[in-house]
Amino acid sequence: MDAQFDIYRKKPEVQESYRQTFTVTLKPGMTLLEVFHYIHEHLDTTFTYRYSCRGAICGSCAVRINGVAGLACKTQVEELATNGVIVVDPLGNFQPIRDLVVDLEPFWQAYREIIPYIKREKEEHNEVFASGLDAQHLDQMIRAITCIKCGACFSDCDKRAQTESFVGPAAAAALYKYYFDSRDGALEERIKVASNPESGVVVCDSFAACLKVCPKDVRPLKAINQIRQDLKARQESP
Amino acid sequence: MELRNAMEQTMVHGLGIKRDRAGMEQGLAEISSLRERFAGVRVANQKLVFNVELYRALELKCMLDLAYTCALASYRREESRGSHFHIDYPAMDNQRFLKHSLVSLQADGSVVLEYLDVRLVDTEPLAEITY
Repeated sequence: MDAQFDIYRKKPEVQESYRQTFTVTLKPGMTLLEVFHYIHEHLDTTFTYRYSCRGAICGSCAVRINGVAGLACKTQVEELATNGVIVVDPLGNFQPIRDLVVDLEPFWQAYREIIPYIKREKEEHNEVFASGLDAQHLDQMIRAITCIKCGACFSDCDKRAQTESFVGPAAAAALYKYYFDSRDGALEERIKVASNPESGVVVCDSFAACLKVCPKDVRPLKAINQIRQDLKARQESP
Repeated sequence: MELRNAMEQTMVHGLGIKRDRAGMEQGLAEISSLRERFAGVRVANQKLVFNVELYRALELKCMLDLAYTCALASYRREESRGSHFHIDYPAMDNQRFLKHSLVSLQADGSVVLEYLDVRLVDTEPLAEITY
């Protein structure tokens, strides 16, 4: 079966983008990433995309597929192709560098803002486990840990599109990990980060795009809500 | 691209999990010739910004070196061990090959194979393959 791909193209150093349609004969089980390889190898060697692991663990190949962010390596094309031309764009909320490759710096900047490491007064070298989490938190904690930082949620976050200072869903889910970790000693600092009216989780308007697009089901919005509940409880009974 | 496919085919057919002397000799010769042919590889795409063609070419060069290294080390090992099955030598040979194979790449592109003794800590080597 032949499938058509309508793909965003942009040359480096040139502002204007254009679109190009490629026709690829599908093999059973073919992923969108394999289609990219095919295009690169047989149709246009200048076609540019990020990838590494091919198995949905590295988070490099996130793109917009028919308008929705997802991993190219985790997307089967056969079924999509039955609905017509498959439209592929670079992630949203980022500046494209070349074809499907975007500049991820704003994503990492947001990540740095939430202080993505455990902070405590005295370094303990014995292995210590986080404790005191109820079942609901434990579930969300495990989800937050599985985030592969692909940027899909950041791309499709409507709030981030409106408010560039917002750290976005992935960084918020990362903040959740440290906020509720009993080994962390910087809760006051984290409360400040979370309740920052420009960038913190309080900015989120619950558009919930992050729940839908996350390829790892991290559910960033739920992490955000857990932090918001905790902030509220602290306000009510300081 | 053609070189990459040829390398994949060679490694699967001549140097897979089950292998024999003749298959490995042929595989080694093929990889050698692919390494020579790599000298003729050119990257058409000259832009330095995120050049996928360039990095895939560099990957291929490294993979060819590694493929040759693996092939040579397994060819010299006249025994079976772990999941490496040498059809011509089905038994494990601790006397000669309880060793680490150490391969180093020389400036001229040739490789040298040496052996290092295995330092066993609180364990005894298996005497034979029982699986």
